[in-house]
Amino acid sequence: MDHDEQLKLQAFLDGELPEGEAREAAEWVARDREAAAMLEELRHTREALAGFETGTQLPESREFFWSKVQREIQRRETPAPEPARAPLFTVLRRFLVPASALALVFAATVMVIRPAGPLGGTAGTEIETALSDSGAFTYRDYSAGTTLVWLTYPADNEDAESDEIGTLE
Amino acid sequence: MMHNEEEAIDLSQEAWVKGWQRLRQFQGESSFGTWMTRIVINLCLDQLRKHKRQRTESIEAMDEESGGVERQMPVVMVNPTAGLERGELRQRIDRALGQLSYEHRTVLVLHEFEEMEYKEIAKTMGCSIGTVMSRLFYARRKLAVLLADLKKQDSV
Amino acid sequence: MRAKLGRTIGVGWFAIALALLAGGQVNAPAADMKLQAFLLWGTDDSKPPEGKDYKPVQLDVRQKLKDLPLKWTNWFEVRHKDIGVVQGATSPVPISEKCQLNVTRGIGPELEVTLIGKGKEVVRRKQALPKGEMLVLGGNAPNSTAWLVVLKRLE
Repeated sequence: MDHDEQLKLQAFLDGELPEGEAREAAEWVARDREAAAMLEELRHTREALAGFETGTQLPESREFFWSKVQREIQRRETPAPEPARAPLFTVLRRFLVPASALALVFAATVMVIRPAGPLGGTAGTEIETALSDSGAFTYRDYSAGTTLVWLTYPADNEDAESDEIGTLE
Repeated sequence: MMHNEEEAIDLSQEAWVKGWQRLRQFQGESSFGTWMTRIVINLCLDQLRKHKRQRTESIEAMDEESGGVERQMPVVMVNPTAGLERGELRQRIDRALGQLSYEHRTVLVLHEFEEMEYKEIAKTMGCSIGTVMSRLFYARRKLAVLLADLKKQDSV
Repeated sequence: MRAKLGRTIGVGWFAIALALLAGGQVNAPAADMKLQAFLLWGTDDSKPPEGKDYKPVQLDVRQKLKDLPLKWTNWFEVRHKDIGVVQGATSPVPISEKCQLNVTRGIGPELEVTLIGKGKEVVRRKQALPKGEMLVLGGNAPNSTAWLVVLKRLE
């Protein structure tokens, strides 16, 4: 069987052949075992793929998904803010007292006041453990300093008994 | 198409944003769902092309275009998915799809899941109908062999 | 003369810097970390349900919620508690009848926050919470509404 014949078999399976050619292909498959075997394999593969995508679940809740879409639309439709003016430091630079000494004092002061982190001053680690079946996922807004942990517990649907937290009383 | 959940979610969200921006262009020639699907597919294809530029072509990938490789693959006589539960079948197919190149996976997805005809796929992917047919044939054959291999591995 | 004065000033600054650095690792004593915990209810309705005495949300909290990808238009404060947590200790914060927040303070700005619902641990989150920042735990509630537990570190 050459490549063109193989593609013809496939087109026959997919209903892409004109009526006359489809009839010829059917007759060929009926009399040729190799063609019949090839068609059977192609059919099994097609059947295996049927329904593969149904029941796929998103890892995010629907509300979270749409919130991100809405936010992105708003972001693109909001005009960009005007660029910031030159920092005050640049303007005032010429008025600063011996710059090296002052910078050294400032750095020393910052190092003293800033509390030591758990690993000798490095940023703390972020660890999240989702327990039970909550399926948590995290969103971080660095500029506002806000971390959102969204739980799919209780269940999303409106009929669910969500009284663990949902009653709010 | 992307075989990457995170990327798929990002692209689907991007598609909705683009759909919103281009809403005026929707004339109702097709259903809204079909129109949105096209946007998603095009975004995925753009992204896949970007990935492709970062990868080198394998000899196998080049050979399959001429129909050489799949001729060497023996016909899979037994249905490799018979007797499998839905979840297990989904897992196997997912693994097998992951081993296809993006062109083959895309053609398979567009034909099997989006139920597009050969000429629609050709238009969407910017290639000839002959190329679509070859890629689809190769993808199906490769998938059959991969599924059969997975069945063999699991029964060992 | 001028050069000598300049050198003296420079040395003076340097000495101050050294003194501060030497004192270096002395931290402020471990005072209570002051936090506020809020239970909020999110909805697209303009007012809370009849008979519920929910309050408006604090402005700064409301503004930060606006920046989050949450679709609900209005937020109401169901409950609010002020907490002080000492280093190494855990403060239980009752949020509702069936729900509690356990806040454990680590070193510096580190916190471990555990949300407990119906006696079961729902989620545990460990992170630094610098002054002015917020940790928000949330989920869906019936009738397309939402609940949020907001933990805000006070300045």
